[in-house]
Amino acid sequence: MARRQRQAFTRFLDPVVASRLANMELKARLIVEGYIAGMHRSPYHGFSVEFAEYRQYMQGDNTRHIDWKVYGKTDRFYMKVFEEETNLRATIILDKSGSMGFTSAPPEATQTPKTGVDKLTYGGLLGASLAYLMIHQQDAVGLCLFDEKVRALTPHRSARKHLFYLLSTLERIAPGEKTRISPTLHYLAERVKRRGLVVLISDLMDRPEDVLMGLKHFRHRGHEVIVFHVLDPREIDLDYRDEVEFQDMETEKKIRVEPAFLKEQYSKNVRDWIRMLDRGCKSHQIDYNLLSTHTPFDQALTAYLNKRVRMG
Amino acid sequence: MFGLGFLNGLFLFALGAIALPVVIHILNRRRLRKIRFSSLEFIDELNKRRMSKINLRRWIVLLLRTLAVVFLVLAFARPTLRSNASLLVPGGAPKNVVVCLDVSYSMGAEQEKGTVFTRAQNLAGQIVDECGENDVVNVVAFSTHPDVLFETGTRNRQVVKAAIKGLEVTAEGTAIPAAIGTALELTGGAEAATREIYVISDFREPADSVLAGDLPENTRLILLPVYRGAIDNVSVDRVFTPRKLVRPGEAVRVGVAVTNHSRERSADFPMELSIGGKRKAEKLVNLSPSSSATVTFVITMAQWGTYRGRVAKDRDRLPIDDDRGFVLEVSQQIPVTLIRGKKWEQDGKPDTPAAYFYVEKALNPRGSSEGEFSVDVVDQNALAVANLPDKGVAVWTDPEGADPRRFELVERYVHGGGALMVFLGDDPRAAWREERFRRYLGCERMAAKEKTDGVKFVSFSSDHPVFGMFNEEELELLSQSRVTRYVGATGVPTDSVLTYFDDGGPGVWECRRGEGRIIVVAASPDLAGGNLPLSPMFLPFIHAGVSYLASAGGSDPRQECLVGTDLVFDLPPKWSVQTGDLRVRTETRGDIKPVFSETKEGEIKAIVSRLGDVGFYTLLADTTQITEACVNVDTRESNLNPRPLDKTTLGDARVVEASGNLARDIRRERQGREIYAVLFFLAVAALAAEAFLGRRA
Repeated sequence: MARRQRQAFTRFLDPVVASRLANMELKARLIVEGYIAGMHRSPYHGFSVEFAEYRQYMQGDNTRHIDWKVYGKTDRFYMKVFEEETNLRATIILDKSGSMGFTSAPPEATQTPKTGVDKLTYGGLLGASLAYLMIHQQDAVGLCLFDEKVRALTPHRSARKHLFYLLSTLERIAPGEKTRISPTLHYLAERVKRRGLVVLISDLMDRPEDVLMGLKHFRHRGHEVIVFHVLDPREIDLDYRDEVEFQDMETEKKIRVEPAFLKEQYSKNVRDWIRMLDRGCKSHQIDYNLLSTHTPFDQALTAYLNKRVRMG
Repeated sequence: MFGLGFLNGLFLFALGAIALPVVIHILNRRRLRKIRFSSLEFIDELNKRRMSKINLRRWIVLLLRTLAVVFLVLAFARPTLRSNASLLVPGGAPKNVVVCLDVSYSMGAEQEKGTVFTRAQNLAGQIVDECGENDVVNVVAFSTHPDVLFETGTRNRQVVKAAIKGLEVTAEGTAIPAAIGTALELTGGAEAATREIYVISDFREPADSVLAGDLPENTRLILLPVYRGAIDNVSVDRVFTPRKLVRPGEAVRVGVAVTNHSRERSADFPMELSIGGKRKAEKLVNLSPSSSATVTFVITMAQWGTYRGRVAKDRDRLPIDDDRGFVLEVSQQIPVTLIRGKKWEQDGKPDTPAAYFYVEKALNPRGSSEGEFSVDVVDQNALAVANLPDKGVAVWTDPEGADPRRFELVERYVHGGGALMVFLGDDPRAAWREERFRRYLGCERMAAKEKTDGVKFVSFSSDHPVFGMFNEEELELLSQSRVTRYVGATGVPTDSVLTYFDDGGPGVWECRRGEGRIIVVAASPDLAGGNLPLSPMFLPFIHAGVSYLASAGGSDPRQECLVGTDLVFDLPPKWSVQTGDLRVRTETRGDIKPVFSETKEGEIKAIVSRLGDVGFYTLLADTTQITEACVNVDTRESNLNPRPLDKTTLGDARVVEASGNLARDIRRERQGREIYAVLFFLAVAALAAEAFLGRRA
């Protein structure tokens, strides 16, 4: 029964399934709950110092949090569960440029769980899920939307009301214009004074040196940075048949291409570009995560939580 | 020149299908899929470099598709390739067909299944079968001469086939151009639009003559070689019998030339010589590949007469050249023509007999007709060619003052193999004082000399047959005779002098002129010039000299008479007036009336034209045999090794190597070689290349 319930939740980790839900709050909640349900238990209770409740000891729990007084009275093991209480300031930076509107998936009616969604939808759902998780852990979350410049910037708040604001903002996003990541990052690095966590969700369609310079600026300011590099699978392998006419989603430029001829070299160049970004991020202790629009959200959430654990 | 024809020409309309790949290409270009892509940064950079190659490849693919369609359409149209485009005539029109069938002796070569000629007959039959009902057919059986079997040709194929079946191999050689010429004449007046000449032969013609030049319009010449592989053959090419006069009991050398035509195998075989059907000699012969040799047999005939001889080897694949006949005449008498010279004319009735008198007495002391010599006396100014014996000796006494034309007559006689014995007179006005005659008789100068006490013969050349037969006593006896009037000759080569006078001048010498020999005696044998005629050694000396000349004259063998040539008999003078009774008896065709011809010298010749058969031919006057000759095959075509036809001699002719299916080969030659398979292959190759490039494009 519990297993079936867990499966019912975890299916919302699929981007396609999640994207079909009614509103952003529901989407974010179901993604996060699905993620937690998929992990059997929540290992993330207990970071806070404020006691919340008791619960029965389960095999595998850390014995450090067993309440021995209750054991002495009842002869049963109970765990002390604490409410989280942190002062982490997380900034979610979401790229809403024109290129983020790309998807190789067929129209929504014919989509399957494996076909994926467009990059902006994926990034929006990921951002909403992170915001939901963060605010429920009492962290203050700020949101920045940008294309060639910053289009929306919300202050950092940890109140639940703020969450609704963030989610409604993310629900309304649409692909914008050209991408200029570097100026945005430099601008935000100057604006966000207090150290915290910076989450960049983007396809990084800009000069990699500039992108890395912007991220480095955050590190210079003492921020922890996580980069979620969102790409459609066909952006990596250019898996098209026959001759096609490509139109650039940002510049509207058109070219005729025989993808079969370019596929090999194109794929190599893209992978080199990804490798370069990964290596650049690692060299500055930035967590780099390459996400396909087919990738379930648990991978991204795990990456965030790992980072969160390391930050303490 | 090559021409392209089509058996299904209507299919060429399908070439319009070329538009198909072009339309498909254009439609494909129009149905371009449009995709909005996130960023063209990576693509644009690569595309610039690749697009030119892609465009080129795209055009190549279009070209290959178009070519595939073209090749397929052409293949279905069944194209044919031929060498003479002018022969594009409708296949169903009536034709005039001439089949030239080689009946030369080499066609009698035996193969695994019958003779080569049998195969040629079968091929000819197949060709006739391939003719249509309205085709007019004729046959030319050819060897050295073409024979037309039907005057105007016939549409009755059965009759033609029967005529072909009835043909036989002859003993003659081959003359293909003559046969083709005859065939062209036959087709020249034909009404049919198409003329076809088939030559079925082993193409053994020895000369590299041009077989066919430019052919007339709408005439097709097809050569069908009938040989398959090499046939080992050894031929008896020639029999050499001595031209000289043969006497009973005399050893006769008969040479036989044989050739091994095989390029690989040595020939090892027995060879025998028979006379009158009886074996006289046998030899084992070994011949290495591609070599010739002359085998010599020595025989002796005890009786005089005309003998039929035959030289034969063991039988091989071509039997006709395995034996060869010859005629050997053994004479009872040596014919001598005694030419009496000037002294007889001048003196009329001399006090003492002239030199010829003593010579005649020496040759025929009893005056009978059955002596060793048959002497015919003639005046030098009445001398004619007919007087000079074919195999015999002319003896000329006192030739001074002779008409130079008579000298020229004798010159020609000697040059052609005759023999002459000259007794020089002592007249200072003699014709031999002219330098030309002096040189002809082998000396530079001559002078009349006279010594009262005479000179005698000394220093005899005992190695020479004339004096070698005498012992020392006999020679001493000869040297005791005295010559008071003689000719002093200078400039005679010492190696040709047989005896000298004791004053140092040459007494007797020999010289060769052409094929004949001359013995010159520098004195006239009459009593006015010494006592030589009274010497007991005079008669033996004359006998020895004339016999030697009769035996040694004519060093070259007689000319053989070959099939296909004319046989010429020289008539002896006594038969010249009775030509009406003369006939030639053959072994196969009975008696033939010869044609008679007279030369400007007055000689009468009996001629049998174009001998077709080998064998003995006897010239008869009623039942009396005058002379005999043997006709043999001309073995120049006995080499049966494969010999590819020289293209330079073919002209417009086409060669069809007759395989198992002659009908197909002939059709192919008529219509050209079909090349649809090549086009199918090209179409498949184009499609394969298109698939390969199209997949990558």
